[in-house]
Amino acid sequence: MRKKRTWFTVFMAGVLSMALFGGCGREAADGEAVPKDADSARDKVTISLWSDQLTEHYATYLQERFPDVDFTFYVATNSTDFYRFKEACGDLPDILTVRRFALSEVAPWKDSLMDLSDSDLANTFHQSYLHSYTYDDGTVNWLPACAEIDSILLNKTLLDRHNIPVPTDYEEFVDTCGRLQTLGIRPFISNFAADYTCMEILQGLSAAELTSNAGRQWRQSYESGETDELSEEVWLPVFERMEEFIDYAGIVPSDLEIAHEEVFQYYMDNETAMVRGTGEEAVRYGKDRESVLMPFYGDTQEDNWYLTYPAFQVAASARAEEDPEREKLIMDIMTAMLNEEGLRHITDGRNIIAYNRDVALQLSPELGNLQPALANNRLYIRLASADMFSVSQQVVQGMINGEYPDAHSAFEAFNDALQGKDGEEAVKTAAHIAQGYPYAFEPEGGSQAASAVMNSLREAVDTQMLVGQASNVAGNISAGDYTLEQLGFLTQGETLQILRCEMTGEQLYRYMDYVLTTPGKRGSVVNDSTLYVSSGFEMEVRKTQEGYTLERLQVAGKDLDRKGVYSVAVLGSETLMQRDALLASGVTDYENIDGSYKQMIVDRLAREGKQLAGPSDYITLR
Amino acid sequence: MKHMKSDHEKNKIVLPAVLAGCLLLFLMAGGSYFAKYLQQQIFEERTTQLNEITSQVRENLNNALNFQWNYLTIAVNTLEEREAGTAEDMAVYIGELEQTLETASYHSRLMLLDSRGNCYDASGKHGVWSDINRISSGKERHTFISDSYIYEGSYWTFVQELSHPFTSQDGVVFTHLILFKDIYTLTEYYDSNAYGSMNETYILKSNGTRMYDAVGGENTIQAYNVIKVLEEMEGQKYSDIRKALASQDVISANFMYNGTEYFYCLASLPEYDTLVLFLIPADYVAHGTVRMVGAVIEMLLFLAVVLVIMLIVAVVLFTRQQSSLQLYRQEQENLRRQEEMNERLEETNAMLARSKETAEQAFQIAEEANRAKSSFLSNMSHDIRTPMNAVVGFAALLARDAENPEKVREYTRKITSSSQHLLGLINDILDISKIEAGKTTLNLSDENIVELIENIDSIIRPQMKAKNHTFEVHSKDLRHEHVVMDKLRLNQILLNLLSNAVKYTPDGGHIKLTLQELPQLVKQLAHYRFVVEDNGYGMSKEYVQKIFQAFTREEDSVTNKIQGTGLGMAITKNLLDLMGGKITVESEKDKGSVFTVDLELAISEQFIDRDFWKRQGITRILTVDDEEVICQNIQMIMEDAGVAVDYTLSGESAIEMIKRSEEEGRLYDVVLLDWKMPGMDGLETARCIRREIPREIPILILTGYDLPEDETEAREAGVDAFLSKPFFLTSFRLKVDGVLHREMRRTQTQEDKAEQGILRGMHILVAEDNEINAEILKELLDMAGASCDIYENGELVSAAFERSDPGQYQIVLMDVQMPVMNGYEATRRIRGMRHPMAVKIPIIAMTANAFAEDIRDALEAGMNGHVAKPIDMEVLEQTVRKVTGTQGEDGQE
Repeated sequence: MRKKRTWFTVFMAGVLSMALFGGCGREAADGEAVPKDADSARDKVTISLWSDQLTEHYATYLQERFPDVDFTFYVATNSTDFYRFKEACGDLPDILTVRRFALSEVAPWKDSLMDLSDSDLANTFHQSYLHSYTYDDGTVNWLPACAEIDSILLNKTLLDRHNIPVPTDYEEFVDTCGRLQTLGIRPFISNFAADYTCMEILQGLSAAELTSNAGRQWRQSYESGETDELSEEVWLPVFERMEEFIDYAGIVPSDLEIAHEEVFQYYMDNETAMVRGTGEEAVRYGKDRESVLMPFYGDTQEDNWYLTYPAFQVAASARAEEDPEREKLIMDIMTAMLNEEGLRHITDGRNIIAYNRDVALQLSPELGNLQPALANNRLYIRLASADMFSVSQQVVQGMINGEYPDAHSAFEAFNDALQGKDGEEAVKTAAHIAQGYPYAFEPEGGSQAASAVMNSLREAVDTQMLVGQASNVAGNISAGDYTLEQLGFLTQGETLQILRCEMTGEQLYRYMDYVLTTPGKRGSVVNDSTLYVSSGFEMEVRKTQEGYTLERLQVAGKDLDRKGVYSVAVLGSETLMQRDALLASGVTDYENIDGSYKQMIVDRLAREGKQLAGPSDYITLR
Repeated sequence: MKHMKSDHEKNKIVLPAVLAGCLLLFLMAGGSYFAKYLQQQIFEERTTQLNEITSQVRENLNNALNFQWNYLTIAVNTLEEREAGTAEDMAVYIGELEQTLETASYHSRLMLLDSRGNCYDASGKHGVWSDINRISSGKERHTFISDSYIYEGSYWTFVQELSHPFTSQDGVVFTHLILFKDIYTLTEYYDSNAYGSMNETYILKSNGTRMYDAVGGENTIQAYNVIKVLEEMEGQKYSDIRKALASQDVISANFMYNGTEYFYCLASLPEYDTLVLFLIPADYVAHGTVRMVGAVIEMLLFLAVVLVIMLIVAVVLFTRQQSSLQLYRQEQENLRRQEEMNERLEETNAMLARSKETAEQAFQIAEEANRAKSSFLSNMSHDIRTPMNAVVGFAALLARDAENPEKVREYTRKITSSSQHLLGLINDILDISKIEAGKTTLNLSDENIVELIENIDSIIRPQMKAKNHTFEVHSKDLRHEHVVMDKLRLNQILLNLLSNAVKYTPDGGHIKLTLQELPQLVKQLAHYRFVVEDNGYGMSKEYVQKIFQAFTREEDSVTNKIQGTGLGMAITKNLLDLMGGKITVESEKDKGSVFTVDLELAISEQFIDRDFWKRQGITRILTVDDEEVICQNIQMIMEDAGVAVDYTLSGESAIEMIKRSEEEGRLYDVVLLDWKMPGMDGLETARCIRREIPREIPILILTGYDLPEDETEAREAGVDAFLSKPFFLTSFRLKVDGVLHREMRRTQTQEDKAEQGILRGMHILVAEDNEINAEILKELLDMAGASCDIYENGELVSAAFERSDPGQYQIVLMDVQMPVMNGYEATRRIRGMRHPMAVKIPIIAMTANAFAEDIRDALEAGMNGHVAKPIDMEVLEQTVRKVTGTQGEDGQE
């Protein structure tokens, strides 16, 4: 019986593989194109999540909100380029989410998305915000979820301890940094390895300049495509201030190695007084200390600005418009995503600012400083084009590394980078994937795409076993040629840790039991599509009303030896899930493997010239 | 046959059905075309109306916006002339400027914008303007609607970039002046009241999206991009509205939404990047026109429906015509019958009611009749027994005194008298019985009423004479003598009246019969009045009331002695009823009675000889009578006949007039003289005329007295003829005719005497089955000088006639009711024989059946006359005279 099922699975995989064999731009993945299972009346809806943080509460909320819908979730790269790639492959998910967004960047393929301008949903938004999402022809494809506040998180307890007052303007901020340095405390640490950190700090520090009359006019020109060159009048002061900041805040080249989690570790360890943080992080890390979210300081208090951006934007594939019922279902889901209840599930629901009318969200005490800025409308919306992210990362890191003698050089470098971004490297084929794999989860065997990636990753880390969540693979894998950037789109864009350890069979049981049953964490299982993928062993899992129950683990068809010791790698967020999981399974000794998950897959395909490892039937879901 | 009938029925249905179907199709097609045409007209009317209104709204809005811009321009000019102070001063100045421009009254506000996006109004500095990004395109002017976070509500926002930004003393660079205009104060410019606020006006950007957030909960379109929603509406004819709008100034169309039809009109304000959308449910657009058209359509539909229904009804009626018509007729017939029956029932009910009402009267009458009958029978018993007793008694005496011729003659005379009375009694009884049984019919014939009167006169006068009564007969205004009547019955009526007058008038009384012709009521009928007047015993008033009832007699000491049946007046009354006449009586005890009979008789045209007088050359006569009334009566009658009449009252004057006329040549053709006149009487006058006048003028004597038995004296005096009073034209004409032929007639009495011997020498064949009657008849005929052969039945009689030689019998007397063969059959047999006399020989019926119908039956059987049994020889002789044509010249006319 089992053999028959195996052969059936192989057959189906073969069929899907044939379909995907043509690669990107030639063949869409069936899993996305067919909304309903032929054998089931349940609707199937694929939602790509901009970040795995949405697996903590948001995805769970949607699944519970629509129990009759089989959602397929996966975590995408947080870039509209990812969707542009998917669109070219004919593999757009039903609902798209992305945080990094610029209207001009999605305009070329806007017709592949549903026009929301005639929906009641669009009309629930304040027009001053909606204006930014409206094309000249009146089309609205994207709607913002809510405003995320991104600014300087200050450890007031630490400052109070050293009798340092909380700065109120730029001058005081500089003074505070100096005083902290004298105390041996890093005034400011952030993950400058991340492009968004580089970009947000660069723009945030000069928000007043960028919102001046000249700044707005330049931005309008840039966003409308009239110019791809920075205005010196506007931008040279920005780089000058960044240069000053690197100096007085004590930013050093080694900071470029600090990961996101490490930043907050420094913060919690009082090794730094300030970090770049969001409203949500202010609450999360403000439990043991008084943390306040301070603005990016301007010359006067009236020039203090908080940097904001939509938590994410939502769009839907135009495919749904072909069927009114399908369209209505998609609209209902999007409404649930963007209404007040949906917004409350994005973070804890208090530290965000709604763009829609009739949604009242209260700010938590940690965000008390925000009120004056809100009253005076000093919320700077970041300029978040993909170029801005990448060039900012390049130039700011260069400035930290001392690559530019002065701000002007940095300014020019930025300008050069902006105009030369789309070079040969960007369009060069880096690899060819001969075999495509569907992402859709099958009870007999699981997700082939996820299995192929996890098997490839296990080979890369060279462990007997590897465990990672399926949603860390970004949907279907199409056969075809890929650029380096596109290869990165195969996996999710967040920085995940790969933790290696040795564990007994028994510990592996405990570990798997933990990750399958623990909710509310970054990496919790939401539904079938977010189940964990095992590489090097197989799982038998039972689905019940309460959730998932691990029944058996096997290796090559034999029960796992509970007493045997195995080298195991786990993929996920160390601080927000995996550490707890390992500890729960009795594993305390593990190492964080250098190198990113995404990069390892890219390297295998591009640099090593390998194909993805073949998928295996890693799970039987009963 | 059934199949053929079915086909026929189908054919009857198919043609009308096809016609009806064609008409129905025509109506439907026509109705459809008409409805579409009207809908198109309504649509054009609606869109035209909307276009006009929307264009007006656009114009209004455009003007209003331009006005705001002018307003802002003034403010900018004023501001730029101001010397800059601190930023705080500028806020104060904004307030002063607002006061100067009275912005409050216009629901407007002014705001300055600095280079950092901060805004300043009269109340001071605010933060960064929320719409700062909307004015970053580099244009100098911006117009849009803003939901300002500073001011509650939505505002039309007019942003003017200062051509010369100025810096405050504290270094703030002011770059823009903004005018806010409360959106609702501009509503009046684009919110048309033409549709009773049922319209919705949308202010949109040129890309179709909303200008501002405020969306009314009741707004039809809630979406952000209104144009896109419109394009997706059911029935929308523009798939790309903005493209259509680019080529047209204003566009209008309709669509369906949630089952409701809407009309919209869209106009562009390109200067402000703005569209004005006017949306309204179709029901409110051109409402009056639509209602009117709707009413017309409804009316047409109603008419069409009525027409179709009428058509269907007509078809149905047509197909059912025969049966329905028959049914209808049947129903009508039934209805009519029912009505008739109802009428009859009503009549019957009425009759029953009347019958019921009169039942008691009838019962009383019947009882009275019974009493009368009982009384009558008692009387009859007496009346019949009395003559019978006389007959029987005198017969016995006759046997005893057979040897005494005087006794025999006396007894025979008394037996005859009693028998005659008994016969009259029996005849009356039979008459009344038959009349009451309704079996009496009139036997009408053309007769002369003068003759009738003369006949009566001749019958009754002897009775008058016997009782010494004075009897006068008068005639007045008689213009028609020949009429159609039942002579026998009328004779009976008048004789009854006159007989009663004779009987119930003491001897020596005066009795008068007057015949008067009254004015005609109907042209064809002569209206006569007969008056019998006496001065006899008279009657009590009570008896007068029931005199015409049968079996009644006045019971008193006088009348009881008089023979009478009590049936005479009842018979008279019944016969007059039969003739359509009426009889009235006036009587007073011991004074006498007056019976008046009014009767209309049809005028006979057969016997009128209007040309007699002209033919005889008689144009002028002279009448001489001492009574002028008589003269005038004669004058009136004769002038009607075309003869001029001069009259005079004495013989002397008559002679003078004749002489004078002879001299003047105006000759009198006849002179009529009264017999008895004072002075010179008629005979004397006649002598004088003959003596004085040489010309032979016919002279007739008119007399109211019995004619003289010896006319010799009169003839010697020169009288040509006698004429009885009253004057009757016919009688006068006959006399004149006779005179003109120079043959003086014998008097009537002489004629009768001569004719009484007509039977003498005749040999008569008689059929009589009753032996006694046969013997009596044989003796009577023998007495009259005739012989006879008597046979006992018709067969024998007919056989005897057949055997007889021609001329052997001169007449046949035929009994009717006989064994073997009755009289009618025997007569028909004789008439059918080849005997030479079979047709010619007179046959006279002898029967106890003495009624008119019996006479008619006898005549129809081929007989020539009729006499009733018992045989009265005088009647027999008259009848023989009549049937043998030996009545003399008097009967010729």
